[in-house]
Amino acid sequence: MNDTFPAHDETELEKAHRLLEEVEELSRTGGWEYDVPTRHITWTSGVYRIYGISQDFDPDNLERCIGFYEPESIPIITEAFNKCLQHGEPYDLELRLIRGDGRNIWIRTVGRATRKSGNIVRLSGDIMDIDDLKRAQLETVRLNAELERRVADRTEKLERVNKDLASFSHAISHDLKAPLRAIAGFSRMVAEDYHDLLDAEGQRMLAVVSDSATTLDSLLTEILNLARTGTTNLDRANISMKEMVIAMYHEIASIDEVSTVHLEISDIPDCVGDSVLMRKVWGNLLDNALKFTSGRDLRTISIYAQTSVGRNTYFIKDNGTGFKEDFKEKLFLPFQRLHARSEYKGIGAGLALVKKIVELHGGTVGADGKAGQGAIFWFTIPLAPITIDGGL
Amino acid sequence: MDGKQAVDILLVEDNPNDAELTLRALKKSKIANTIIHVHDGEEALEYVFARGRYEGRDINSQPRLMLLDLKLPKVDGLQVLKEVKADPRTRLMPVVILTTSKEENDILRSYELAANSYIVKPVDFDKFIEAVKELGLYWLLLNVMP
Repeated sequence: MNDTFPAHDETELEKAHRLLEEVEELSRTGGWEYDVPTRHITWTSGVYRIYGISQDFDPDNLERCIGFYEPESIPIITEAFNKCLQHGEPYDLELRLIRGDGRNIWIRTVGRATRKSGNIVRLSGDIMDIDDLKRAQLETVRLNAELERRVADRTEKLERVNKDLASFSHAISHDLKAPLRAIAGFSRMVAEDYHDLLDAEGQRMLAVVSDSATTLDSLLTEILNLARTGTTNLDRANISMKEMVIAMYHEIASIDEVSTVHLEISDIPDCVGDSVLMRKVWGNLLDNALKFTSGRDLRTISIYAQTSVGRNTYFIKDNGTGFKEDFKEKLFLPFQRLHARSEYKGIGAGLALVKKIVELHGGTVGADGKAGQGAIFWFTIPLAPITIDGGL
Repeated sequence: MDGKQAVDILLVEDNPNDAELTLRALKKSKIANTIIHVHDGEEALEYVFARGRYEGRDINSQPRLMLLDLKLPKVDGLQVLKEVKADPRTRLMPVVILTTSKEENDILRSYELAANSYIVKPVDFDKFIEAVKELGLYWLLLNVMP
């Protein structure tokens, strides 16, 4: 580099030349020109610097210049140069060059034609040393590919484990159901056919067998449900949430409840989701609300929603027994019950299923309540569908 | 169970306990008079197509309804369904699938193979009777075949 500042008064031309030198060195570029009629080639000193050769080298030979490119790059630059020469097509290529010192570097080479009276009289362009940039870029690509491969690997493993687990719980539940049918069915047969041979205590004991079989059956059904949910892709469609709530309510509530429970439904917004699964969300929440208001004289359930950035939050509020705040964490865990089985029916998988379904939709669930003062359950659904199993 | 009498229901079920419960429910429903119980898919096909153990049975006299379990030894339920629905002599016979869970993939598969309905084998005996009664009423009374 020209470290010394010019001592003498430089001419405008000298000044321009010095600036060019500095710019070329700082930006690692070099310019060249090919005069078509004379086939004369001119390089700026930046080109010598990139090629790693001394100024003694005479560039005035096209083949010799192109000879610096890597063997694989030679046909590419030759073709581009010829097209530019014959048809005036500009080029902009990233190729590899073998420097005078043997170092192999990435360069960007740009060329264009100048015409005079329609004839191509001159080609010019520049060469940029993009080695650091290109290597960093390639490294990023390599790391990304590596990362993607690892993510894919891990995902595949997890999917396999998930699938194994799902088919395991499926097989277990399935296989357990057959003997369970026999326990329930045959105890029923004993109760029917041998009724007269059993005293009250005998009948009570048989009823315990029978009820336990029914409980175990619900448990297995819920395990199956939980295991199966999420093993298939969501089937997304627009869902009219208000209509769905009304339909589910009438499906779940008894005739008596429909006429006595005070149900308020605001104009809650539609959502995009899997309607089969969303029915289970509302079904379980409504079922809970009905269950836990059952002791009240005046039973109220209200359903409303809030729209905030990127999501809708749906609320279901009841004036039922509520729950102790300490239990909030436990609510959505599978097979946790806050109340004795004798108080309220159910095996405690409903809210776990709600949580799983909402999370599959990219949302979250929560609840607020106080013992004896009702409960509010809420869940969010993103406005734009999010796929949690999607790519990067 | 001589092969000459018209059969109301052909029950294809390998689990003896399930079979006993089903037969009892069917009898209690007082709809089906004759029930034939076969224990695997191969026997079911032999019965329907009057071959093997049922060689010489009148093939024109077919059950009004087949109750078919899907998980069967030798030839599985879906294969039985496929063959029954593929043969012009038997394809009109209503086939009702017996299943453990209503969310089995097998149910979808069996509908693809033109099963007419399915019934979940419930532990709740009352519901079972009710379901079988409904089926019996539907297939054997409302939809009487010539």
